This record gives sequence, C-alpha cells and structure tokens, in this order.
Amino acid sequence: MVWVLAFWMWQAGPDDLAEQGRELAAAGRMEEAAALWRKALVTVPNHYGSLFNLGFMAWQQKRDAAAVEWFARAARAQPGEFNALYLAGSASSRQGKSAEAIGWWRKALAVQPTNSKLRQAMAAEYTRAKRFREVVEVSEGALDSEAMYLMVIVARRALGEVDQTASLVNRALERFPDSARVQFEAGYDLHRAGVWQRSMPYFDRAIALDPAYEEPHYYRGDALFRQDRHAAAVDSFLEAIRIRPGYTLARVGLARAYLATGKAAQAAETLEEATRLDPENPQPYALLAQVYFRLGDLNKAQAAKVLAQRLRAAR
Amino acid sequence: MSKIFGLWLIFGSVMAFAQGMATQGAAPVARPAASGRPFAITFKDVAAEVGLGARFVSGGETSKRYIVEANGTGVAFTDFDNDGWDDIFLVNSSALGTPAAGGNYLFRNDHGRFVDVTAKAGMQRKGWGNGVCAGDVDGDGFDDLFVTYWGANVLFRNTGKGGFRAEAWPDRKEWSTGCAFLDYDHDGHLDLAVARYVAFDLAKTPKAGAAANCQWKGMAVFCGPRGLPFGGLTLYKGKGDGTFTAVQEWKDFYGFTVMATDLNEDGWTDLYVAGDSSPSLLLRNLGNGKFAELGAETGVAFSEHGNEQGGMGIAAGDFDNDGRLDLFKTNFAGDYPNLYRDIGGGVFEDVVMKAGLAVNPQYVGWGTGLVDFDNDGWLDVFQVNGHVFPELKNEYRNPRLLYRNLGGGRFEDVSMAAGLTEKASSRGAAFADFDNDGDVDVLIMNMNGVPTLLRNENRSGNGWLQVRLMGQAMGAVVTVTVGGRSQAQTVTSQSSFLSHNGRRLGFGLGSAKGAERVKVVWPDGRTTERLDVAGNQVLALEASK
Repeated sequence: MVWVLAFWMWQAGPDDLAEQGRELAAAGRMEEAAALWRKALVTVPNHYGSLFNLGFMAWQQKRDAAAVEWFARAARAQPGEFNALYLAGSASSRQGKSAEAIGWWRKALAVQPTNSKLRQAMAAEYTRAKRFREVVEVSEGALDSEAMYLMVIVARRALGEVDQTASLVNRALERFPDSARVQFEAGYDLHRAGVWQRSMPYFDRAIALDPAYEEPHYYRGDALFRQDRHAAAVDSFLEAIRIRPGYTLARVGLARAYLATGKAAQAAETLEEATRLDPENPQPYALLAQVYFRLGDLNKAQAAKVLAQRLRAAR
Repeated sequence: MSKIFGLWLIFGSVMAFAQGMATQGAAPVARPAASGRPFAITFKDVAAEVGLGARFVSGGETSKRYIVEANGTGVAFTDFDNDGWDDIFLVNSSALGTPAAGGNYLFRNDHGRFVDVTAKAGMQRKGWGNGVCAGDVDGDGFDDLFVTYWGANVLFRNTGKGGFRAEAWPDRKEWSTGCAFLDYDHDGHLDLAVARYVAFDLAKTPKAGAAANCQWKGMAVFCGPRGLPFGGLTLYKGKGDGTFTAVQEWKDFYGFTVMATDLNEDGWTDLYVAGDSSPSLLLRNLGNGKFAELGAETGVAFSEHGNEQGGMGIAAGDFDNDGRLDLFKTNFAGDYPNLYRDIGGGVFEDVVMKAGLAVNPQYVGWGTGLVDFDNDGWLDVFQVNGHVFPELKNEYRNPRLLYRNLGGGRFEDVSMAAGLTEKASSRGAAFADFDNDGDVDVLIMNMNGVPTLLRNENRSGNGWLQVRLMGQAMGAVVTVTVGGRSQAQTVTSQSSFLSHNGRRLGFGLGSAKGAERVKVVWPDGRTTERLDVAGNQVLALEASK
C-alpha cells in the first residue's frame, strides 16, 4: 500500500496533491496533509493552494508567525486572492502586530472594497490601536451591524465629535432597539454630557433588556450620585458589584456615595475590599487616603497615598 | 485553482471588539439653559491704547522642539512705587539659539497709561524667564520681585527709589517655574517656596517624536513632561535681609504654579502647588516649622476619579460665600478644571461638574482668577487658554473664558457676551484694577505675541470695596460681610499661572452702600477688624493697627 501511495505521489501533479491533502486535512490527518502540500511545492514553489492550506493549518493551530509566512508567499503567488491577505492580517493581529495586520487588510480591501466583514475587522484593529479617525473612515459604507455601530460610536466619542456621536447613537437606537448595549451607549452619551436625569431611562432599559449587564447599573448609580440622590446611588452601585465583584469603579463609586452620606467607615471598608480584589489599581488607594484622613487615621491615610503613588508610577 | 479548506472559520474568530467604555477624553458637559440674568460686563483690549508696547518671545513660533519653549511666562500687577496705581511687570522667555532675544519689561502706571521704565528701573535682564512672585523681603515697605528662570533665578530688590537691584539667587541653575513668598514660621520675615518643573537638560532630552512621550495623537512633538526627570519644590527660610537658606525639599513631581495662603483656617500659611501630569501638592503648615504633604488626603491632588491631571494655574477665593477659601485649578485639554470647595477643616471636594464649569474641556487652561468682575458679591471665574503645540494650527489659539457666578454653587459661561472673542495661545494672567475705577481688569501673556490688557467696562452700577493690606500680608485672608453674607479672599504672592495679582482685593457690594464688617486674618495669625465700612473706596489696613 505504501509503495502504491509513493508511486501515486511521484506521478501526481501539484493540484492533485493539494486536493488529496485537503481531503486528509478534512479527515483530521494534518501531518499527512502537510506532507502532500509540501511535496506539491517541491514541484511548483508558488502553488497557491498548497501555500494557502499550509498557512491556514498554521493559523488554525495558532502558529501565527508561520501562518503569516505561508500567507505572504501565497499572496505573492496570487496577489488578487482575498483570503490569503485577510488571514495574514488576522494572524498578525493575533500576534499583536497591529500595523502589519492593518497593512495586510488594506491590501485585502483593495481586492474586495465592499467587504463589510473585513471593514469590521479593520475597525476592531483600529479601535484596539486607538486610531479612531481610521475607525470612522473604514466604517464608510459598512455600517450594517450592531458591532460596527458600537465601534464607530466609541470612535467618534473619543474624537470629541459630540454631535456626530449623538446622531449615530440615535440611528443605532432605531435599528437595534432591543440591544442593551445600544441603550447603554445612549445613556452613557447623556451621562457624559452631564444630563444625568435624562440618561437614566436608557440605563433602566439596558438593565431591563440584560439584567446581568453591570455597566448600566454603575452609571445609573453615578447619575444618581451626581443628583445628590446618594442612598439610591448606593443600591445601584451594590447591584453592579453583585454582578461583577471585581468592578473597581463601582466600588469607588459606592465609597464616594457612603462618604457623601457621612458613612466614612463603610467607605473605608468598601475601598479596602476593592484593594483586595484589584491590588494593582491606584484609584481606590487614592480615595482611601481621603477617607482615612477624614476618619482621623493619619497613618493609614499616608500609607494609602504612598501606595497610590507607587502603583501609579509603576503603570 | 485548488480548493482550500476551513474558510468557515475565518470571520468568527477575529471579530472581537473592545467592550467597555471610552473613559478617556472628557466631553463638554451640556450647558444649562441661559439664566437670562443681566451681566453688565464687557472687556476691551486696551494694551496698545495705554502704551503697553511689549512682545513676548516664547521659543519657536510655528513649532516647539523642546518643552521649555511651550509653557510661556507669568505676568504681574505690582505697585512697585507705592503710588496707588498698579504697575505691570512682564516676564519674558527667549528662543533657542538666540539667547539675546527676549528680556523682561517693567511699565510704570501713570494714571492708567503705561510708561516703559525697564531700563531706567534696572530691569533689562535677558534670560529664559518663567514665573514671578512678589513680596517685601526686607520690610522696607516696597514689594520686591522674584523671577524664576531656566537658569539662575533672580531676586529683584526694590530700592524704593523707582528701581530694582538684581541679586543673583544662590541656587542651582535649574528650570524653576512657580514661586511664592510666605512667612511660614511667624518670625516676621518672608520665606520663599520655589517650584521646579523638569530637571531639564537640553543635551539629554530626546528630539521630537523620538519616544512614546514625544507623540501627540500620532504627531511627532516635543517630549515631556512625562518621561523627563521630575522637578520639585524647595522651601527657603528668609532672614529678613533679603537672604535665604534652603530648609526643606519635596521631589518627584512636575511643579508649576505655587500659591501660599491659609487653607485650613488655622492661622498658618499653607502651600498649594499645581502638578502637571503628576499629583498636585498641598503642603499643610503644621505650625512647628514643618509641612505635611496632604494633597491626596484633603482631596486636591487628583481628579475625582483619582487620576493625575495636567495642573497649570490656581486661583483661591470663596466662590460660595461661606467664609472659607475654595480653589480653582486649570488643567490640560481633555480634562475638566477643578473647583475644590472647602467643606471644612481644610478638606475639599471637587464640584466642578455640578458648578457648570465642565463645559469647555477642549482647551488647555492656564492663567485663572476668582474675581468679582461685576461687583455683585459673588466671585466669577476667568480662565485663559492655549494649546502647547503650535503645530495644531486650529487648536493652538483659543478664546478666553468667563464664567459668571449665579450663586447657589452654579456658574454660567458668559465669555461671548463679555466680548471675549479674540483667540490667542495665552499662559500667564494677572488681575487688578489698573485704572482705579472700582472694577478688576485682566492682564494676559500671549505666546510669541503682544500682551493683552482687558479693561473691565462694568455697567452694573454695583458698589465696591477694595482692601489694601500694608506690610507683610502675603497669605492674609480678608473677609467682608455684606448683607449678612461673608466673602473671603486672600492676598497671594503668586497665583493664576506663575503670575502675581495686584495687592488690592476687590469686593463687590451689590446694591449695598458699604460693608457691615471687614476682617483680616494676617499671616501671623493676628486679626484686624473694621465695622460699618463705606463702599466705593480703597480701605488700607496695617497689621499693627
């Protein structure tokens, strides 16, 4: 049998080998498949199918550096092939090589300019790199999913484009009225604008749509706090913390609400718990310094301040 | 073409996108509906009209290669000849490679018109100046000036004969910024605090764009302050003869404006220092010759979320008329300023959002004052702005901001209505009634430009009372009671951004004809009180009387 296979391989062309490899890969026989694709490349070094498949196998196995090399060769072999370019970008992105990923995807975009999924992937990469202007640019003509809307909302907000953000949020509300995240973004936009009372119905709707979504609880609490409704704020902060115990911002908010109601000891307790759960975050220590100072414990206040400064310097 | 496998996997695994909030970049808080209440104030730039011919040199005009070029200078109103008219001193910087450029200016106020007496008064000194503070270091009754430099600082001793004598400061040649005279130990002699921004060495500072701290939104810009060695603060004890000895030091921050006043009402002058990209410092005077740094503990070191801010300028005043001094601090763009309300015992809470002062976070804020421009008895907020990168052509020059105090802890942006439409990249600002007409005017430093002198054209008809404290008064707190309400202000050696305000404190009386009570708590803890004081006058008070 081995001899028969060897004879076939000696006779078979690269397309046949690649096809046979694909069938083996589909059956989970990866090493044998790779051997056939490599054999095909001996005959035709620029054989696109084999190069791509070797790249894809590496990509699946999360051997991203190798995947990029294979996809790069495949792209050179057939520059107009979208998939090799796209996956080279994907493998680069997974390695944290944002600029390289964008470079590959720009080439892919030249091949398929209307590919909205590609534009979405690029928007995600630009978001990670905080290149918000590019997020907006790449979304042109591809604003067709909730995910894309949300990324562009975040980008326009980061760019300080207040009116455009508000307009986009309104469009998202029309298109995705049952999205807790979209409802939250609408509330968050108003919260940032200091219109705390008007932000609250959106947070309430987000909570109704997804009760396990902690951020609307936190921002609801913050909105209440800023309207001097401290007791109600405490309830919202507690709910956010119940959902996500490690939610430091909510614990700090809770402590501020306690402090505002004269419950400095409870504020200290809340912040101490925050430092236990999130020991590298300077924020609770900074507030803890104030709380202990108000409680008259100057040594603990000083210790908290020193820790806040040390942690901040280490960041 | 050969078949390829597995494309069903392609998109599902790479669609992750950032969850969570964009917490960076403060957005302008929505403006409430206009109060509709009249505000009878407009400002007119009269600098050229009244003879204020000067030009600031502030490094490169279209590009800044190093951070030392970006921060500009302070300005001062100081009545150096004690004739009752506030004179003007302008600190000037220089330009890299052109050390002869620049030079400070001194203008004598001749009944509202200014005469350049720089050379005549012995003030024609070149150098890379930064800040100014004033105080009578030798007790001769004439205010001396201390000027900070990138290089050796200089104490300009007032001769009392219309001039100054420059005395080299026995210090390291560093980049000093803020300074403030105070009498921290109640010995009757002025002491001095001097802040340093960065331990700056041009030869060791990376070039623009060379590192992560030399980028701004993808643009190559000068480096710092983050990534450059910290500056600090030194406290010098004065001997009363114009000489000083370093006694205490604070390190590891980027220090800008220094303000000295009593921030916990215990009769001892404290220090507040604006920290840029580092915590701001509150140095509480313990009354035993020592200070404790309590910025974080008292709530004035960070933003409300516990983050460092780009602190630039500071103003002190009692914005809510509870008789206690509050603080206003300007910060870098993308952040709100701070309005720290003293809630008692020298503990503060930031109420900037509630107060309606978080509506313009797009500007880099610098010089600032808590000043009652319309004499209605409530301190308003003035702020000058300007980005640090001239390369940002549309953002470099900004308008000035005026927020009128509505009472009840609320402010309203009335900049446009007050005629503040001119855009400049401004830094220092000082406040005084230069034309002696009973309202407070504004002097502004503009980068690579001419000074602005905003004359307050006040049509409110409100009454006023100005209090001039004679002798050693740096850090004194004056409380004026009108209609049962107490307003507190303080005499500072430095405030705003590296600047010095005129010594006369202006209190608004509204429709009242006078004040029920004027109380002074002097820096040494003694008090002076006057009852039933008539309005529309300058009340001069001395500590010993």
